[in-house]
Amino acid sequence: MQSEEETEKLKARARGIRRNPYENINVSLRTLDIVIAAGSAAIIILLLLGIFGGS
Amino acid sequence: MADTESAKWKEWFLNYSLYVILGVLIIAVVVKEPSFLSFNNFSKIMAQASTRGILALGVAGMIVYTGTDLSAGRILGCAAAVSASLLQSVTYASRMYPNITEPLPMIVPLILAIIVSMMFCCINAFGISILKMHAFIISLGTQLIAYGTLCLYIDSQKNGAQPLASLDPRYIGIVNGHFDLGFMQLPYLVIYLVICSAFMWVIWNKTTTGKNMFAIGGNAEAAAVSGVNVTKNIFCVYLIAGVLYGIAAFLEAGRVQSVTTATGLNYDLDAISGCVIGGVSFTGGVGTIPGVLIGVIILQVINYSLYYLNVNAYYQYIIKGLIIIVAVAIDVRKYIAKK
Repeated sequence: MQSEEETEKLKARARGIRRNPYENINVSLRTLDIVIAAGSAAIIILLLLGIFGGS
Repeated sequence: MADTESAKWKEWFLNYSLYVILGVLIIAVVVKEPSFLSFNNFSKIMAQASTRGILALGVAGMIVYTGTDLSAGRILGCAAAVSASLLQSVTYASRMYPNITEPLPMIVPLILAIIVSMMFCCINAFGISILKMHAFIISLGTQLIAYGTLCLYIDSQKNGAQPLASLDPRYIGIVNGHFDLGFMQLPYLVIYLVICSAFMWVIWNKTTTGKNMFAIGGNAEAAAVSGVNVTKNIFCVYLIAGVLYGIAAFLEAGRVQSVTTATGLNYDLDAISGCVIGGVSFTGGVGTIPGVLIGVIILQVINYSLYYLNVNAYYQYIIKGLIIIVAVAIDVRKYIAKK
């Protein structure tokens, strides 16, 4: 059984905790856009290279 | 106006880039080999995706509450060895248990495979919920324990470490059978995947355990304060995963018809990748069952199509790795864009 004090402490802690850990990620949308675009392009190139490279 | 239109397209491409990649892949494969686009291939892809799909359904629950499971593949290997060893044909001279002279009822090896998987999952759940260990570390330990156990089990055969093969034809029939729909064959494996998915959908969306799992993933402390028993819930998630691993192991052994120490290798990574691609967020509290299935099928389409065209298998590793990075970047981007 938790004491009232412990429960209050836990409640306060829960209020202070943000829902999403990404909250603390300080990265710009632009950087992510570049990662996604570059990654997708690399995958497509590799796929095409793999599929058509041998012929 | 043109700027708005192009921004809209850019946004669409960034959010759905994985589907664009899949589209490009299918078009390229069809251009190279038009026979790829057939119901027969579709049925093969679905059959191959089914055991990994069932495994991914178990792993997804853990990811939703911010955990993970690196041991899933090796647990599958271990449980698959148990079911294969008990279901070797009774006419096979080198079978692991020569004392079994009458075929066992199918349910016995299935239940044993589930029990073996649940035992390993209990170790993970104990480490995470009671010892407060990180899921990554405890499941890494369990992975090695499961692998060692698998090797010892396979090595304990009278004739040394040989693959567990020559399985009971009833077993192979139950796993590899199919319904003939005329235009295509519907493998039983797909039916098993659909049943497991429906079962998991109900657990995730209609039960207290499922709701609590999302609550813990969203904010564990808040869930605890709200009266959710976090320890009990984590055990529940792992035990359900254990049941799914056991079923997947039973099916996988029957599908490949030969269990070795390599069975299950990298299956955990495929399952985790499938979940991430399907939108199950590593930050916890986000994920859907259809998403997991789509993620697993995307991976399987890539695997199968490249294999179909005899593309060097090493490309697959690089492509899979890049896909995971892009999937996580999309996940983070969605959150940041919303913020």
